[in-house]
Amino acid sequence: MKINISDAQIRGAHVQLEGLSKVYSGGTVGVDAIDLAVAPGEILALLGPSGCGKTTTLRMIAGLITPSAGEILIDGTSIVSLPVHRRNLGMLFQNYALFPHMSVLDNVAFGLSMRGVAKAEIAERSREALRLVQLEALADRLPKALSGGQQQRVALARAIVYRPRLLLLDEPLGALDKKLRESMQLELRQLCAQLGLTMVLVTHDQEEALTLADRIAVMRGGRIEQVGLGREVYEHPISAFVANFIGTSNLVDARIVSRDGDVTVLETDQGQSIHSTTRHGFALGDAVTVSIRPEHVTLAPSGASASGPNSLEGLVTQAVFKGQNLAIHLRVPGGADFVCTIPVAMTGSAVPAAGQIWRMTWPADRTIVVSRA
Amino acid sequence: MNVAATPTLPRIEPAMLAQLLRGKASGVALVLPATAFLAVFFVWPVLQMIVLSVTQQRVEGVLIEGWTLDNYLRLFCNDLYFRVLLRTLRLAAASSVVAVLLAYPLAIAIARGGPGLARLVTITLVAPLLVNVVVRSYGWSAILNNAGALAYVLKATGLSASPPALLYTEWAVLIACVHVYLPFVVMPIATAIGRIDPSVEEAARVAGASRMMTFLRVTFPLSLPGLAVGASLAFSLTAAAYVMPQILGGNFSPLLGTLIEQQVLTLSDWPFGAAISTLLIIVVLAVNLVFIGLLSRRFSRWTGGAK
Repeated sequence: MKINISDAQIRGAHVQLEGLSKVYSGGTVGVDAIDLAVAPGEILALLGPSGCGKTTTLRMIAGLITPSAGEILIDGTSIVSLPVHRRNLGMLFQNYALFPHMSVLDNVAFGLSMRGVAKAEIAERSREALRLVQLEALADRLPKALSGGQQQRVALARAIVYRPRLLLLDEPLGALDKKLRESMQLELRQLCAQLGLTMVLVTHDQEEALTLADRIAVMRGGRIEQVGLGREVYEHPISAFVANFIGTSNLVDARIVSRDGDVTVLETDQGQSIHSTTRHGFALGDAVTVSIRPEHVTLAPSGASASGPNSLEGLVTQAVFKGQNLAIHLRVPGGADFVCTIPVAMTGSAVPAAGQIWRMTWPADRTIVVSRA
Repeated sequence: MNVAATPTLPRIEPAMLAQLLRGKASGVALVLPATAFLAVFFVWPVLQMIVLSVTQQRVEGVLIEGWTLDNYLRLFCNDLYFRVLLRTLRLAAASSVVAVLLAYPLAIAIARGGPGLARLVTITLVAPLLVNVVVRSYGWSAILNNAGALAYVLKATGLSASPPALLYTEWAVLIACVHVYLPFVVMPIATAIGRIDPSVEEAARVAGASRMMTFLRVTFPLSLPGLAVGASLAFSLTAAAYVMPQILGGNFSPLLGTLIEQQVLTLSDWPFGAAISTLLIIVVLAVNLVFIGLLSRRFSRWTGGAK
C-alpha cells in the first residue's frame, strides 16, 4: 500500500486511562476502575469474553458512554468532558456503520465537511483517503453495493480522512470471513505503522488480538486481568482464565509442595508430581493451577521410559486431523482431560489412535504456574 | 409463481404441484373476503358517486337524462367554491407540516428512549383517538372560546389582556386536527427512525457531527420514508375532516367537507355534492402522489438499488 498523506508523519496519541469506571443505573458494574496506558503509535487490544467491559471501555474513550468515575487522558489532557464530536477520533464499527444514503465518496468526506474544510480540499483529501484503501474506483457507489471487506475499507477511509491520532476499533473484522479477516489484519497493522496512529482494538478473538496488537489487555468482569506483549501473555499467563482465553491450555489443579532454586515441585489433586522451572509468585502450599500448552506436549508409545520429570500416561479418546496439526485428546487416570497437538509433518509411522495408551511428556520450562480460576 | 410454466421444468412431482396449487388457493381464499368487502362497500359506491357527479337534476330533484360537466364548471367558476377548495388544501398542508414538526421529537423519544418512556409517549399520543370526535371537538371549543380555559389562563397569567379569538377560525380547526392526527405522523416516523442502526448515528458523531448535524445529515434523511407516510396521512385526514371544521370552524370558514354536507343534506343537490366529493378525492390523491413522488426520488437512491 502506498502512503502519501501529504502532511508530515502523523504522530499517534498517548492514551491514559486512570481509574476509569462505569456503573450502570441498576448498580451493574460495567468497568471497574481500570488503569491503562497506550503509547503513541501502539496497537493495544482489549481482549475478553462478552460482558467483560471491553466495549464499554472503548465507548468511554470515544465519548459514546459517560464514565462514572476516572480519567481519560490524551497526551496528558483530560477529554472526559469533551463531547463526542470534539474528540477528533477515528472509529470502526463491527457492522461498518456507513451512511447508507451517501455515496462512498460522501461517506469519506463527511468528517471533513463537519470540520468546515473547503470544498475543493474535501474532494481532494477524500479521494486520497480512498486511494489509501484502494477503493478510488468505487467512489460513486452506494455502500450497499459493496462487499463487507470493501465496506470496512470505506469505514477506515472515513475514519482516517480527518487525520485523527487515535483509531478505535470495535470488533472491526468480526463479520468478515477468515481469509479476508487475516489480510485486513495485516493491512490495518501496516497502515497504523505508516500513519503512526495509535489504535485501541476491542476483540473477543485471541487470534486477532495476537495478529493485530502489540500489547494485549485481557479483561474479565470489568477489570484488566493481565496486560502485556502478545507473546508474553501467551507464554506467561498469570491465571487459568488468561491461559485458557489466549490459545488453549491443559489446566491441572495442583499444590506447591517444594521449591528448590528454580525448580518448583507440585502435586496434582490426583497425586501426580509435576516440575516447573518458570518464574511465578506463589509460595509453598499454595493451591494453584498448572498450565501446559498443547503444542509443548510430546507423545511416545506407552511403556517408553519417561524422559523427564513431567510425564503422564493417558488413554487416547480422539485424534482429530486439523490440517497442519493433529489434535490428540487423552484422558488421564483420575479424570483429567489433556489435549496435545503434534505437527502432521512430524508424525511417523506410529500415529496415536483412539483407544490406545500413550505417554505424554512436557518440559519443566514450559510448565506455567498460574492462579486458579 | 406461474404454475402453467412448470411443465417445462424437469420432474415436477404431482404432490409438489398440488401443494403449490393449494398454497395459491389458500392465499386467494384469505384475501377474498376483504377484497369482496371493499369492492362492494368502497369501489362500487365511489364509482356510483363519480357517475352521479356528471349528471344533473331539475329543481324538483328529478335526474335529467344524459351526461354533463356543468357541476365541475360550477365548482371552478364560482369564486366561493374555489376559495373553499384552497382553504381546505391550505389547512391540510398546514396540519401536516405542524404535525411533522411536532412529531420528530416524539418519534425520537419513542424510537431511541427507553421502553418506559416510549410506552408513556405512545399512550399519551393515542389517547385522543379513544375519545369520540364530537366530544373531543366540543372539548376544544370549551378551551378555545372567548371565555374558555385558554383565555382564562392567558388573562390570569397576564400573558395577554385580550386573548385572540380562536374558536370559529381556521386556527381552532388546525389545533384540533393536529391534536388528533399527530399519532398517524409520529408512528411511521418513529418506525423509520427505529430502523436506523444506532451505530450509524454514532459513527456520524465520532466523525465530528454535533447532535444537531447528526440529525440533519443522517437521522432525518434516513427517516424520509416514514415522513412521507405520516405527512400524507395527516394531509388526507385533515382535508377530509368534517366534524371538527363543522364544530370548531363554524360558518365563517367552511371546508370542502362542510360544503358537501350542505349540498347533499341541506340543498339535496346530490350531483353537485358528488362532484365536490370527486374533486376532493382527486386533489388529495394528486397532492399525495406528487409529494411521495418527490420524496421517493430523494431516497430511491438507496432504497431502489445502486446504479
